[in-house]
Amino acid sequence: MVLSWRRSIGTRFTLITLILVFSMSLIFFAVESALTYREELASFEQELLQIRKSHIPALISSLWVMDYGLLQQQIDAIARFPFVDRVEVEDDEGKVLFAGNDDLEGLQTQSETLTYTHRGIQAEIGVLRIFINQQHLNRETSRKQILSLVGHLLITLVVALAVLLLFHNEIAKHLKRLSRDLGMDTNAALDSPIYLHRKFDYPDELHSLVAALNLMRRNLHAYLKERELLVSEVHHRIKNDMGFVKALLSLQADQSGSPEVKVAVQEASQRVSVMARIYERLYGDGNFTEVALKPLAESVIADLRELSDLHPGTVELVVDELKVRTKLSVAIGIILNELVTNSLKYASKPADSRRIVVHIHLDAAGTSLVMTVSDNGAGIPEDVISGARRGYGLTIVGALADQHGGTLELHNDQGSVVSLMFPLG
Amino acid sequence: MKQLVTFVSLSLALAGPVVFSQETFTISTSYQNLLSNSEGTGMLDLILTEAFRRIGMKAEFVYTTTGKSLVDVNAGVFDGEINRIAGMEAQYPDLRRVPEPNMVMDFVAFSTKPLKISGWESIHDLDIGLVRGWRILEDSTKGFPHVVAVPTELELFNMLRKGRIDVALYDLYTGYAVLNELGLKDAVSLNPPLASREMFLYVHKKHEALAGRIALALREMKADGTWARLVAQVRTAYGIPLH
Repeated sequence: MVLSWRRSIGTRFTLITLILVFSMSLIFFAVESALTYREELASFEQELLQIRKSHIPALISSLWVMDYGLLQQQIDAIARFPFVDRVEVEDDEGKVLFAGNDDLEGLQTQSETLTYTHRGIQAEIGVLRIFINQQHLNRETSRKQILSLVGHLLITLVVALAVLLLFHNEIAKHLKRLSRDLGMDTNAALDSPIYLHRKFDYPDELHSLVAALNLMRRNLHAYLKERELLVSEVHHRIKNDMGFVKALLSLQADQSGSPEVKVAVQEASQRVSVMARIYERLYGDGNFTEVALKPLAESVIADLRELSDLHPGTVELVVDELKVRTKLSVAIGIILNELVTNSLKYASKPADSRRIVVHIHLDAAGTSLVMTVSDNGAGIPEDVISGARRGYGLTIVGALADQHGGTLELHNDQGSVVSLMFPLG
Repeated sequence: MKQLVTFVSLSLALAGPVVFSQETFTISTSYQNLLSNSEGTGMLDLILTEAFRRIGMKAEFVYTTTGKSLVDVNAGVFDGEINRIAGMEAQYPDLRRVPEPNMVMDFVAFSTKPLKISGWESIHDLDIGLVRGWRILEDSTKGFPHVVAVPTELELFNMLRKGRIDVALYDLYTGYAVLNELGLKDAVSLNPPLASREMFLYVHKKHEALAGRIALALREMKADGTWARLVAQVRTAYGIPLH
C-alpha cells in the first residue's frame, strides 16, 4: 500500500477525511464544551436552589431553637454537595459552625442572611456562607469534555483508517493494476481486453471504466492497424518510386559517354538505392518509427557488393543491436554508403587485401551513438582532414551529421578513420 | 449501770443483724446536678443519706444512665433508684416504692419577664419552650399555638436568654441548676408552679422490708425540720427562691 500523499489518492482522501472529521470534531467539541459548561452551571444553580428550598428552612429552624447538633448535621449535609467546598453558619452571637475544606484560597463565597419569621416579625438569626470552588466546576466540565474529545478522536482515526483500507481495497489497488497493465500495453496486446482482478465483478464505476478502456483500446488497435497499412502502402510506393528513379539513373549512367558523369550518376543511383532499402525495411518490419541498425548496415554493404568490386570479407561490421529513429537511420545508411564507397574509391591496395571496419555502438554513458569507419588505405589527405577541401561524399556526410546535431572527425591511423557521434534522445 | 448495759445489749441485738448484714445501700442515680451529684452534695444525696443514717444504714450513690437505672435496680444490680414518680412498679415488677415522697417536683415556667401566670391557660398565647420528651409538659401544652420543642435544657434556656421564647417550661430544681451553669441571672421561675409531682425512692423487692422504715425516717425528718433545712440549704446555694 502506498502511503505517500502525493502518490496515493487513498492517502490524500484519508488525510482530507481526517482533517474534515477532526475539524468537525473540534467544532463539535467546542459547542459541546459550551453546552456542558452551561449544563454544569445549571446543575450547580439547581443545587443552590435545592439548598435554598430544602436545607435553609431546616437550618433556620435549628438555628432558631439553637439546636447546634442538628445544625451541624445540616451544615454537613450541605457541604456534601459536589460544588460546595465549605459551609459556614454564623449565629447572631458570632458563633461559627462549619464543615468542609479549611483552605479558602480561590473559593467564591455566596452569603445568605438567615431570617426567622416569628409572629410576623423577621429576625436575623445568622448568616450562611457557602464556599464554591469554581475550578471544580471547570475541572468537572473539562473531565467530561476530554473524555468526549478522546472518543471523537478515536472514532476519527478508526473512520480514517477504515476509509484508507476500503479505498485501497476497493479502488486504489485496482487502479494501480490497471495503470500497470495499460503501461505494458503493446500494439498487439491492444486487441486483448484487460480485466479487473477482484473476487466479485460488480457492475460499478470501475467496471464501466475498464469496459470503456477496452473499447478505446479496441478502437485504437483498429486505427493503428489501418494506419500501419496506409504507411506501409506509402513506403512501398516510395520504395517503388525510388527503384524507378534508381533505374532511370542507372540508364542515364549507361548512356553517358563521360566516365566522370557515369561514376557520379552511379553514385547518385547508389544513394537512392540505400534510401529505397531503408523504406523497404520500414514497411517490411511494420515498424515505422524505429529501424534496427545492424540489418540496415548489412543490407547497405550487400547492395555495395552488388554494385562494386567489394569482396566478401572486406568489410567487417561490428554493430550493436540498436534501434534508432527512422530519420536518423536514413542518415546513418547514407553515411555508411558514402564512407565505404570512399574507402573503396580511394583504396591503394588490391581488392582482395582491402580491409574496412565499421563500428556502430553506444558511448559509455549510453546517450550518444558512435559510428567509426576505418580502412587500411592510403589515408585521408591533410587538406581534407583540415577541412580545406571536401569531396562530394564527405560533404553529404558532414551535412547529415550537422542535420542530426552530430560531430564528424577525420584522421589517419594506418589508413583513414572517420568518426561520427550523434546524440540520442 | 446494769440497766444501761442491758439496754445497749438489747439495742445491738435488735439492730445488729440489719447493720452488719446491710451496711451500705447502693442507690442508682442518673442525676448530675443539684439533686444528686458525684460530690454527694445534692439535695437528695443529703436527704437520703440522713434517712438511711437514721435507720442505721449507709447510703452509697452510684451514677447510671437514665434508661439503665430502673432496669438495673429491677434486676437487683443496685439496691434502690433515687427519685421517680409513683407507678413505676407497674412496669418494673421487682421494684417497691417507699411510700413517703423524697421531694415534690415542681414544673415551673422560667422567664426573663415579670409575667403573671396562674396555670396552663395563662400561658396559652405566650411563646413557650420545652424539652422534647417531657410528657407532662407536652401533654399540657398540646394545641397551644406557639410551642417550641428543643432537644435539651441547654437550647431551652439559651432560647430564653435570647428572648426567642417568653417562658421555658422545666422543673424547678434542675432549671435553676442550668441557669447557674449558663450564668443566666435574669431568668426566674414564675409562681405558682404549673404542675407538681411527688417523687419517691424505689427499692428492689429483696429490700421490701426496708421501705416502711425509710418512709418513717423521712416522715421524722420532715417532722423535725431536718428535711426542710436540707432543702433550704440546697435551694439557697443555687439561688432558688424558698417560696
